[in-house]
Amino acid sequence: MDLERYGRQMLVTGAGGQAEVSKLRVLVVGAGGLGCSCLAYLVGAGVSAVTICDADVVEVSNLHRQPLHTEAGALAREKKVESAARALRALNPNVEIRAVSKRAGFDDATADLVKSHDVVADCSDNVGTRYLLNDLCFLAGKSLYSASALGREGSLSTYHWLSCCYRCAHPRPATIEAKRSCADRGVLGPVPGALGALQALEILTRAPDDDIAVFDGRELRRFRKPPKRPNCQLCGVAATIRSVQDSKDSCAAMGLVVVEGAGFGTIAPAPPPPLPEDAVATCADLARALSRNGAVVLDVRDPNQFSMCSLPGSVSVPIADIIATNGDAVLEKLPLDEPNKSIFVLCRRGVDSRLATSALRAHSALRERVCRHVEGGLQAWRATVDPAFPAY
Amino acid sequence: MEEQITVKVLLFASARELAQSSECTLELPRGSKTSDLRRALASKFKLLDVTSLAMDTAIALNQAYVSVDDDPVLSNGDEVALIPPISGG
Ligand SMILES: [Zn+2]
Repeated sequence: MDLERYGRQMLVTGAGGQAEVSKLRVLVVGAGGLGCSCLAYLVGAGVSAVTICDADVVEVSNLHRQPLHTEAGALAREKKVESAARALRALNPNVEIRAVSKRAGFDDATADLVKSHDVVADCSDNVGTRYLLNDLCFLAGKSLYSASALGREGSLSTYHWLSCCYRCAHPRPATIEAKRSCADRGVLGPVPGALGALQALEILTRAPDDDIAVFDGRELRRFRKPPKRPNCQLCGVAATIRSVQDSKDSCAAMGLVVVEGAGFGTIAPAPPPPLPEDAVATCADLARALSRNGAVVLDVRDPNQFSMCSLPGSVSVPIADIIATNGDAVLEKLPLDEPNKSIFVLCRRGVDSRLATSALRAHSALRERVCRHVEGGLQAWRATVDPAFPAY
Repeated sequence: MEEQITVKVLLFASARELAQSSECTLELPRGSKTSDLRRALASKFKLLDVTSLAMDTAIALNQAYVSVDDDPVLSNGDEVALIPPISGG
């Protein structure tokens, strides 16, 4: 044991305390304001290993609150995990530092990361990741140390799973808070710094998990956690979340964006207004129209799915293109010489087609055309019209 | 016995921002529950919308979170904190 390096903290915790710390393997999700602070104190204290998980690159706007990163890193658009790993190795070469340039997501790779560490520090910046790590840590039996910061405020909570989980305290994401992040609301640098340091303290001292601390910019107040909810989907008596897929499904059902990409973990935009009755068709309606040669089928699935299977003669325009161009993308692809044919908008399950139909009905050049969303999509087509159509 | 009770309300994070106030005092009829307090706050502060308050915002009564399944009756002198979860990092 390196008495010169760790002596000052061993005067507080004793050799036994240091021995415990030196065995800890910590997964730190997020190398932003909280992560930089938490990581620096964990590595300085001499934990066995830290794994840093983040997909972002360093930006100049991060530097006021993320002191492991540098201006040179921002100019070079260096990955945050690499920038942080370099700074941490310089701080303490005795700790095993692993950089995983990936966003923690609803996937097996993330579940495996959780399983292969002793404890997890949630230093993420979105509500979806908070539910994700809560679920994965509970399923893997790992302690979760969670911190958050925004503006002048922050909070700190720990879950060892004897008391309530994050879902027990927050069964649904808060619509008023979740849409906002540091990017559009601002944060004072020392706030995540302070909360990340306290998070490291909780980890190093294996603090009990009986309260949730709230920092209001000046004062840290502790509130006793609510009791475990008997009907919690994760930790309740009849829990339904048993896998990362269950977690993903549950978060999607709560309106969170669960697929990788911009907006991951935030509350998804409100669903489009319900379509009028004449804009909704069944698969049987589509089959009848096709048999009379009175339909153009617009398939809005992504090109990969379209290339796997499609209805004969259907036209492919991915939903992303339709939304990005406010419907213009469709005009180039539609056979405009057949204006009497109804447009039937089709996707895999009838979700994106509803969105696309709303956009197309609002398009000035398509006002005269009949444009209908096909309820249930290709899955319903297979179930109700053509059992030979491939399932995938 | 007084017909009204007085409770102290602490507002955090987006609740504080929307109300533009970090604490206030509310007079409520005796027997009021936390759900009545949410409604009273929504009418006091225009920007605090009652549905999102009721659905999303955790509350603590005398320094202890209240389970979302419970709706306890408030007493004179209680301190209630509105604590929307923060997710930034
Ligand atoms: Zn729970």
